[in-house]
Amino acid sequence: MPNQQEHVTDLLSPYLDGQVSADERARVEDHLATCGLCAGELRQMSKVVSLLRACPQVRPRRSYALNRSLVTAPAVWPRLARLAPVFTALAAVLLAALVFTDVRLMTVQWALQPQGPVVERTLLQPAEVPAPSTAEAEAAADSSLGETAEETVPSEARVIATPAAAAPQALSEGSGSSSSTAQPAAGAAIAEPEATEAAGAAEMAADETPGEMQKSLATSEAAAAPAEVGEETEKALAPTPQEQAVRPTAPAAVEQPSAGLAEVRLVVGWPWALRLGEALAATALLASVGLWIWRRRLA
Amino acid sequence: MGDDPQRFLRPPRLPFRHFGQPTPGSILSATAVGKRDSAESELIARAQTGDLGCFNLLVQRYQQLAYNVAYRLTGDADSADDATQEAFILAYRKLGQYRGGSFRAWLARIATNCAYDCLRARKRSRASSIEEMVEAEERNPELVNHRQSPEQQALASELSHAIGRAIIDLPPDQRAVLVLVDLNGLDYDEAALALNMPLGTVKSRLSRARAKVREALMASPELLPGSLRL
Repeated sequence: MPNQQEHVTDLLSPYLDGQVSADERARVEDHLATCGLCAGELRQMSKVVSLLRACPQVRPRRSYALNRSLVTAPAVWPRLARLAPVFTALAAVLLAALVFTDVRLMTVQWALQPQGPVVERTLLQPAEVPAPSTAEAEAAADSSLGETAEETVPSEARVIATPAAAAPQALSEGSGSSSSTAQPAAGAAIAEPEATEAAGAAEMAADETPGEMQKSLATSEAAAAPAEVGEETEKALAPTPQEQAVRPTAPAAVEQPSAGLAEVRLVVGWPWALRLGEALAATALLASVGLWIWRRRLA
Repeated sequence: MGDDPQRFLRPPRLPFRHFGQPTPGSILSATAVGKRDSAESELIARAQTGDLGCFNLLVQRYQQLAYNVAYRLTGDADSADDATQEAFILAYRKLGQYRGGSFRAWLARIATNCAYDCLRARKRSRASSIEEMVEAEERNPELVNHRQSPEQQALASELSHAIGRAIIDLPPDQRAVLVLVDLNGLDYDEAALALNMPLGTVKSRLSRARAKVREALMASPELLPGSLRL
């Protein structure tokens, strides 16, 4: 019996189909005459081939004859559908950028909301300055006593009043350091004419809301210790050279509110364009995603 | 005759009927049926000039081959339908690249590629498994009636399902060779041309595919006719 290496298993299939050379045919036939294993395998292979060729054909569902519409150049949509991933990516990036910008501007607008409009209203209608709470008044008074003019100045404080003008006046009128006027840093950083004007505005505010001012006075340490306030006021009125160095000039201080107003107006004016852009980008994104899905279904 | 597998070995006599609107002066005539080979060359030549009616005659002649190739490769009637239509559209557009030789092998190559494209698209769209393909295969008993008795048809149907299951289990490269040679009657040279592989590769892959089908059928011998029990 021939060993395993002499079996002609690989040649049995082409031998059945007559796809072997004369030498291979002779070799297979010589081997089959002596090897029952390969002969049995050939019989099984022959039955398998017979079964496979006996497998009935599947009837086509329909005729696949072509018409002109099928063989004309593909429409524009399939071509565009190939670029659907690119469109989707571009629309997504555009939408993300617009949303990011929108959120950032909304954040800026929100941050300016308690201050920006106050600036505008204070400049236009000083009487509408909202009176801060008692706690704010205390904090303002404390800061007026302990802080120097070099520290950061709230935006509204720059245009409202100086302690030099407002605090003594408020003390003399019995209203004490009234709310937003009791911020020496602002007063120290502003020019004298503007401070005088802002002080007048503070007076008007105090006149219109005397109850709140009295309440602020009752809780204010500044009112309880006018001498200290006076000292601090004198100190603020006589700044050190270093303070003078860091203080902005009067014109610059005046420009601050107008810049804030422009920024506020910019924020107020932009959302419409942003929202429109976001809507368009979102529509483009949805359309490109739909195109993509349609392309995949088409594929 | 009942269990004689040779009755299936006869090539199917596909109808050759006039279809479409051939241009005046077309070679279509009653004698074209008897002179199929020469007529096919003329049909191809006319189709290459844009004669859609002549091309539709070729479609009519080979649509069963293309559909069966696609059906056996995809295991799904819907995918086979799409692949067959796409294959003929592609064949019409690429007909200018046909440079002679076996038109059947050239068309089988396009149908095979379209079937593979459908398989890839189906795998992308949903997780396709062999079980799904087998189930789809079993849902499509649209077999050609060879004037068999009901018992013979039932047997042929069961046998077809068993063979279809065994074919679907084959690796794609072996499956294509088996489908072209054993199920659709292409010779080795045509299969090598259709699959763009050397003749020796066709022989070895077909041998391995037949061995695997034999093993699969031996697992369910009750489906096999008595004379064909392995």
